[in-house]
Amino acid sequence: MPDGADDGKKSYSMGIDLGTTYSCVGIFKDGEVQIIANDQGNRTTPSYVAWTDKERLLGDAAKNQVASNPTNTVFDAKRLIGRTFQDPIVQADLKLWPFRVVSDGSPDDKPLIEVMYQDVAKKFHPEEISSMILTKMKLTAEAFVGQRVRNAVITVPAYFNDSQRQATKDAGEIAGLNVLRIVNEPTAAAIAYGLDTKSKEKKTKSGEKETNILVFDMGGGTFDVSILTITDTVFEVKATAGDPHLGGEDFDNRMLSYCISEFRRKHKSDPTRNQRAIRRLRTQCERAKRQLSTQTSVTIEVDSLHEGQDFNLRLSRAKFEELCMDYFKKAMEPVSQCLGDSGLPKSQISDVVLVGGSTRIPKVQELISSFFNGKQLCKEINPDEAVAYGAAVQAAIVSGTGTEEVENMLLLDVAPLSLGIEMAGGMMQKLIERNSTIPTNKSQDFTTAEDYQDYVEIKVYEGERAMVKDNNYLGKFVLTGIPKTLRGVPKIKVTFNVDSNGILEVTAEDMKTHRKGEIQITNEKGRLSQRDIERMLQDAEAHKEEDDLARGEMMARESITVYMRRTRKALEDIDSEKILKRDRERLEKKMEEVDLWLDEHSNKATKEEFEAKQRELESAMNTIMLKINRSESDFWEQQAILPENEKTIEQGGYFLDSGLDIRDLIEDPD
Amino acid sequence: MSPTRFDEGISRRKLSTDRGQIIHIAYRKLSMKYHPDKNQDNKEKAQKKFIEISHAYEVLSDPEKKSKYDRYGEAGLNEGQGQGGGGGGGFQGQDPFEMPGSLADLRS
Repeated sequence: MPDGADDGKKSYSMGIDLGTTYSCVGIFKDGEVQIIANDQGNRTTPSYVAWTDKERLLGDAAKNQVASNPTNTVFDAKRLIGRTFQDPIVQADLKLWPFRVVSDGSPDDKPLIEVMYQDVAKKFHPEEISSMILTKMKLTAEAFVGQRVRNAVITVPAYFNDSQRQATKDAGEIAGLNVLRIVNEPTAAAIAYGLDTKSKEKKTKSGEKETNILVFDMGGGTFDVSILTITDTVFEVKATAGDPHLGGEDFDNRMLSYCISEFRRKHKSDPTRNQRAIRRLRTQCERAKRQLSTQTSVTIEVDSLHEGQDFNLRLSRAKFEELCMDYFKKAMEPVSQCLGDSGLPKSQISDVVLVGGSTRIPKVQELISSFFNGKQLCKEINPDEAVAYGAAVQAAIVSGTGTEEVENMLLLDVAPLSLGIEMAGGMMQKLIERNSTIPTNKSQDFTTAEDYQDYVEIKVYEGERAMVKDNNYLGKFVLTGIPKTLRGVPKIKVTFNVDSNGILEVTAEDMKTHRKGEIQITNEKGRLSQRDIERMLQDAEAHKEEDDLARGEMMARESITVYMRRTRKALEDIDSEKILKRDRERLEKKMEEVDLWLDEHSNKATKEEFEAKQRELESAMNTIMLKINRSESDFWEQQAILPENEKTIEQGGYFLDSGLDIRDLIEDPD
Repeated sequence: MSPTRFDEGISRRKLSTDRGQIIHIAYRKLSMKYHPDKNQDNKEKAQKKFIEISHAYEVLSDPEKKSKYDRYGEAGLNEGQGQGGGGGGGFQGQDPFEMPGSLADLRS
């Protein structure tokens, strides 16, 4: 895949933090990283997609209507991505989601999310949902720089496995992105930390000074710990550990269960099956959780929650901590493991950097601090934006679009899990050890276990356990045509390649015949095939057309509003002597009429109706123009020098300085 | 490449100071030069080189691996890994009819 600029024009590359609950996008521009606010002015966007009767909604618009449309509002795609339907984690999450998830029924057992859209049941892969969120982030970035942005670095939890990484990359492709790199979230956050510290040190000549830091990254759905050795320019990951299914949502769920049981106890009725009630209660739990980071107690209140009964509960911080304590403690295990793997003693960690919204919880901070014997924690960097910030820097590094300072930086990341193959007897033979610096490769020779064996089946796994049955199966392939001979004679060379994204490719070669076999592990279990991806790309395009239709109406509405504004201004500006009173009155009347019509119809009129109204207005205006003995074009020239299709926003048109039509960028009408 | 080549860039005098630190600094310098991200025009070749450098660093920075390499060379490293799977040639003990297509570890 080509990197960086492809058409000679300066192109930007963005960094996207694709989160479980929120996403964030940053771009390296004018020598620094800009975190970009979306059309609602928010610097993070909910990772939500919803379908209403009329349209598809993304981000804030989707999350805002969740209580009224719970079954068609999809979130948490990151908790599904790269997993199978029967995965125990998926099965447990299923019970908590208001939307429907089914199996695709194939041997791969992929999960599908089912929603109703315009009375038709539609099914989506988690990759497609993620691609829609990525599209939203892309549009946010494009609106900011005023040109197309295709190149992206997307972050994943460091502890994401091969299938989850691959699926995330696929989501990027479905969104039409050129995925420059999949980067680990804590690594990206470390870049933000490193640049921040460096700028504070005011370029004191630190030279080759080494610092070891631990990044504790707990977000809405995933949890990572990474230890890095950083110098001015090199960010080297020493070890990483984590839990790909632990975060703020788990705490929300605990609170939710507690609230439900309280409601049941008080009112002797069960709201569990009432999706709307559960959704409303969950929203309040999430809010209460946030408040408990600064307050010692809160009241959770929902009017008429279920069967007309109100819900009201006073919850203390202590109670919240009690409800979630097992999760908090569980989070300390990866910290110990990561330290052990890095070979560094606690005392050698000079800073513990907190990233992700859940690190605002006082108890979490307290536990980490006491683990490091009362150490002061680093809260300097923005926990919600640090990952996108680092991703944007990495995007600039990889695409060569940064400043010299940035382009001199280097990231050395690691593979989070050991990778190996199944040996006779079900043993796991590791080829790549966990925490190996990537990219990496490793070859090892194997032979047959029986006499006259003419094929071998190579099954690939990831994980740390000695027996493959306890590890995660990735895929298999069969190498045939091995010359029949006694066992132990053939020599089969198996090679594992892990690329810079942490994605694995395996090849095997019979050294005698030089027959080769290879897997894109990737085409095996849980992963979309290239054909799937292409189909989804087309679906996404089709969706775009639907969206374009809605966009057409919006543009026509926008156009007439702009015309009204300009006409009004023109009437003020033109020398009144030059206009006949009658004409002026006629135009003013027309404008009043259009104003009224807009008030009434602006939400339901079609593109054609808007255009017809605009023509009526134009004809009234033209009469005046002709009368004042000027051609219309001369007049508009006076108003703005350029023809309509070249006007910039300031001139009342739709074009940015770069020549990009903003109408192409607006995703959601209203 | 042989990991010892990695030592060549470092003068003897320097080696007598903090060896681990020097190896680490050299590793960073070489990574900066050969990492595929820094060689966009020649990614494949750079990647090959970078992987060799990483491998050398892995061996040199780990006293156990270093001593194995010093005694048995590259083969010694693989041997050590292979035994992680457990029990040498024990895989052949399986009933061949129940294990079609199985792999066994090849040891020389």
